[in-house]
Amino acid sequence: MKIQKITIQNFRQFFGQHSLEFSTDEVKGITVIHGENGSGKTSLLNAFKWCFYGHADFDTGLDNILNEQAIVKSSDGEDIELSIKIDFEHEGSDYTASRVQRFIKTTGLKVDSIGGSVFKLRWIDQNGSCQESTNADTQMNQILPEKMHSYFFFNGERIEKLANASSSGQIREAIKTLMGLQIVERAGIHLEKYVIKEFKKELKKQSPGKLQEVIDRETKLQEEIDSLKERMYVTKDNKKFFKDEISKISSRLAMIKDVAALQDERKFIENRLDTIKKSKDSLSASIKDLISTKGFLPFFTETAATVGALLEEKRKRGELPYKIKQQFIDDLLSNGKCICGTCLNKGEENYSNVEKYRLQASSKGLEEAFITTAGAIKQVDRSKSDLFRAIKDNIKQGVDLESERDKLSGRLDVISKKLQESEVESVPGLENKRKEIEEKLDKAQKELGKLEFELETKTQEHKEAKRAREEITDVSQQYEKISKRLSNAEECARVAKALHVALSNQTREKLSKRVDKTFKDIIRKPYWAEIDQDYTLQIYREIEGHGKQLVPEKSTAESQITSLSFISSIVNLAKEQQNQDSDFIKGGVFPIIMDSPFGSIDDEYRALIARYIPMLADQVIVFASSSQWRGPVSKECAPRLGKEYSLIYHCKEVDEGRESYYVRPGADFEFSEIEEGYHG
Amino acid sequence: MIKLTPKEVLESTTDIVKGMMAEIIKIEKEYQHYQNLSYVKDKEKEVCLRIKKLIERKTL
Repeated sequence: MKIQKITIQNFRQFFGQHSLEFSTDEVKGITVIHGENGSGKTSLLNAFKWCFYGHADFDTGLDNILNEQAIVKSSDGEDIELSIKIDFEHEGSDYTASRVQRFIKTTGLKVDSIGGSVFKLRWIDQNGSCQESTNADTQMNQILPEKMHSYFFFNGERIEKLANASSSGQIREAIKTLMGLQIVERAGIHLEKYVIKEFKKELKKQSPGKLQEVIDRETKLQEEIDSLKERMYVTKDNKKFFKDEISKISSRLAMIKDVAALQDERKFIENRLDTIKKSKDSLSASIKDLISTKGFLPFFTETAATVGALLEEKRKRGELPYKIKQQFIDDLLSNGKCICGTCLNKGEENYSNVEKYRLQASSKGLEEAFITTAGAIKQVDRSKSDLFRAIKDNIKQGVDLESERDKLSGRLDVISKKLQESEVESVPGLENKRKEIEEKLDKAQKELGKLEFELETKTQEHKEAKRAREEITDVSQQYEKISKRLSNAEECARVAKALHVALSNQTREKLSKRVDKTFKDIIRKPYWAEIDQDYTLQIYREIEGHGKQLVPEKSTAESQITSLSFISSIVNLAKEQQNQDSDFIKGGVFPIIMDSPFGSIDDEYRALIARYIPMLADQVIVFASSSQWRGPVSKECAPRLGKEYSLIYHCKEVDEGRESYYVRPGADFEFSEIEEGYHG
Repeated sequence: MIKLTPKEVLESTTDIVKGMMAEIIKIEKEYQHYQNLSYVKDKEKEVCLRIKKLIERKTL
């Protein structure tokens, strides 16, 4: 999608009709709209949202979207039209989206809307004829999903929230929708929740009594599994909510000067406790691995000694390995001559005598087995000692970690108590609230563990029921036919689910790398960005002696840079994905339209953002004030700048010193005009 | 859990199922513009029925 033109009429500050053409040039793809505060930059950004979806992000909602001057200049009872028209190109076709809302003036500055707004979508098809959509809202959502619009049309000053842990759901959703992964996910859901169920119902009708019982059991177990999954989903959501709440309270405590040090210490301890937990999990896994691969050794000592003694006895008796090799006897018999010179002819006594030795002689395989077994038997004791030593080491490390954990947990209790007893007015309340939520979080965590265990048990039982169904063979031809269909549906569901997981992981990893690259290009500190397994956009740093550590508190600028890196990277990955031939993943070309993206950022960061972000998208539309645009931003964008517009703001009066080419006092009403070019 | 790539997932099944999957995805794509398909019950049922019929047709 590339935006070509927007035409607005009587929308917010814009009286009458105004148009803006955007650059769609492949090299010079940036369009800048300059405007001072209040001149209509945010209104223009919202014009896109209102036109495409009928909503806007104004504090007053849609109550004041009709231009005031348009109302004043109309007579009572007269119709007033508010409209926005957007021309854009999408996948080779030229589209025009328009939304019109009609009003009737009642008295004074009051108007009533006449019905709802009317949205139309037209396009020129490949034969050059004009088509109008019969389902315009749905088709618009197909082109640019409404829930995704905030990634392409955004207010830079509010964008930093994407970098919060609470935005992981949004990030997961963005990846899913923009890359088309939800199609595969839905396929899995539809197969499982409907198709398989229907085939099972049909199968049951064709089944003998015993089979009906098995199918009933399988269906019941599936329902129980679905219900457990649903409960797990809700519990995970609750857990996330509690974590976010705790994080908010922690941030508030960290901002209270008198207790900030305690809160910082708590943050540090919590991070360390997290690392301890991970280390303990890894130690448990290592002990499990040792026991599963070498755990037989302590029980094998006696057997090993018996086998060793037997082998030794055979060796002493010369039976193993036998002094004569089988190959040697074979060669004598084949040559027909013994080493003493006697002829060996088949059927004669001499031949039979030599042949008897063949049975006693050891084969190559047996000899090798003897050497290997005898060697391994000798190693048993040493391997057993190594195993005990490794387990003891792991246990010791675990005990040390537990001791550190207990000490740190004790310290956390002390910190919490100090905060509860703090004399700073708001602190005890916040801390008590925090404790209350922590208890809820703990409860949710336990509930989740219980549900996971139940799910595992039910899944196993379901597998057994399915196997039992498949093993019953005394059935009709029709039964067999439905059974095959069911089996194919089940395999399709398995593939859809596995494919969704694989595609999600692959896309998340690709995107994580790309976000990190953009983030590192811009950020000055030795930090790196990752999208973790939970789809949280995290920033990490290396701390000597402690390894990789999460950056717990990011500045607004750092959060803003993280979010911008994510948005530009996902737009870039979607563009790349569109050019790849895949049935399962789609991508697409999307513009980036940003209002005040350089708000809370210093000059150096502004320059780097202006350099790197536009590189990742085909089309960038920037709304900026002169102070945001000056110097480095303007310099960095210059080679890619395609078009520039200025918003001229007319008002009754302005504060002293604010009057300029862009802010003009002396008007009867506040309104803005759009002028091509920029006067600095 | 072993992490499989999308290619490995597809290689883990038969050509018949692979073919069915490609067609199921085509059907799902026709309905992708419904943001919450589960809220549009008749449409969701329509997709499911089409998938069921496809499996019936392709299973000999």
